[in-house]
Amino acid sequence: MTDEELWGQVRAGDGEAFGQLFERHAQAVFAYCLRRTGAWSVAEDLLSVVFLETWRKRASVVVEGSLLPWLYTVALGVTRNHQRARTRYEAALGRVPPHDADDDHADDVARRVDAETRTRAVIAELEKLSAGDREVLEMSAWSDLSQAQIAQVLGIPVGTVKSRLARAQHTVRGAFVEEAL
Amino acid sequence: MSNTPGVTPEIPQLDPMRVQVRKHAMLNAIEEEPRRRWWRIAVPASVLAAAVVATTVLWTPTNPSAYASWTAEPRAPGPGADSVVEKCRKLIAESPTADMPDWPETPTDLTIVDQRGDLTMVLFTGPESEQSCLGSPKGIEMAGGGGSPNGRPPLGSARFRMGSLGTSDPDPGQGEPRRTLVAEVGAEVAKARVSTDDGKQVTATVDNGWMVAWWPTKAKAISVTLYNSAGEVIGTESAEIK
Repeated sequence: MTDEELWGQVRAGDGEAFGQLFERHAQAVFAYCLRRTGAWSVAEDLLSVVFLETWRKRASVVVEGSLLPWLYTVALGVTRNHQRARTRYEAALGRVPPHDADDDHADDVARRVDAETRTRAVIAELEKLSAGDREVLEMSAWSDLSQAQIAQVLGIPVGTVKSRLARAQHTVRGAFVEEAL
Repeated sequence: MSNTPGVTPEIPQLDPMRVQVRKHAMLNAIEEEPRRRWWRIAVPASVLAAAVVATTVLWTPTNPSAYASWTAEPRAPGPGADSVVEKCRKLIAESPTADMPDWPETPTDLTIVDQRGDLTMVLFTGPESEQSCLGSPKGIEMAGGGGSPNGRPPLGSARFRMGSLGTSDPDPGQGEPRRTLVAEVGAEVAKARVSTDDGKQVTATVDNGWMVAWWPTKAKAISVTLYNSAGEVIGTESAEIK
């Protein structure tokens, strides 16, 4: 089933359909949240927050094609102020069983640490940008969204997306630029 | 810059088992929604109510401690308090929860003005909720609050009833922690003092049947000691929200 078809069921209150959408898009949302925050466990919590917030607003959200643009919209909001978002959904997050470190293989721990180290290095570089330029560059580099969709997610004109992206690329040169294009 | 990785760092795949755990926790949460309106998630731990409506952050990188003037003993409000009261009233009225159908009615009655150094804490109460707000020369923000759309039962002959214990715990570099205790008190209570687990003795401001105390740490409140107008201890209460 397409996202649109599943979303029609979600709007009617179908939790199972929402679960399918969760499975389909969890990795993309998690990756975005991890790249924004640089912390694995925080990103996992924010993944849940994004979907809980999406469920809460299901009646007012219209999906055309993929649900991802909306999920990125929510993810952008919750990562902008993730402490507040996590607090709001504290009760629901409290039901997620903690990740048992004893069950982790050393390789898994290492790849988490590596991922956090890599993302934090990028975050440190991106902090040189203004918030507006940074969010455009991040959305362009980390999602498959078109510039028109990014404009919709960020609530700005397409022309502003283009100008901010160009300015961000000019500031953040080198390896960053090739990947963002 | 030359040693930095690309702008799109590789992210490992989530463990499929963790995805399933998250999914089922989420589905359990949303399945409960019809039985438990979402405000109920927030109201018992009124920290959440405060967090939802928090707006302006007092702290800025150029201001290492917005709470530098804080004192454990409140003082009489200064001439700037009226301005803070009006700003707080406006902030509360315009909070995102003000128009929510299942949220308690926004409080409008000015009940307490608590002054510590240049920091002014204002408490508004109403039939269904209470909300505090902190102002300083640097800015203004929501503090603790709580309530219920079902209203608040009368205090009756009780001397004390916890209202909320709000916690502000910003990320490192984003501000400073703070706890705010709001409670109802009986008419015989003239003074109240909060003991915290880091050894503070914070004297509350008591007025109009309510008390407010706050401190610039995450220390937990252990107990609240109540005094009458003669300065005698008339009770010691738990700071737990029941």
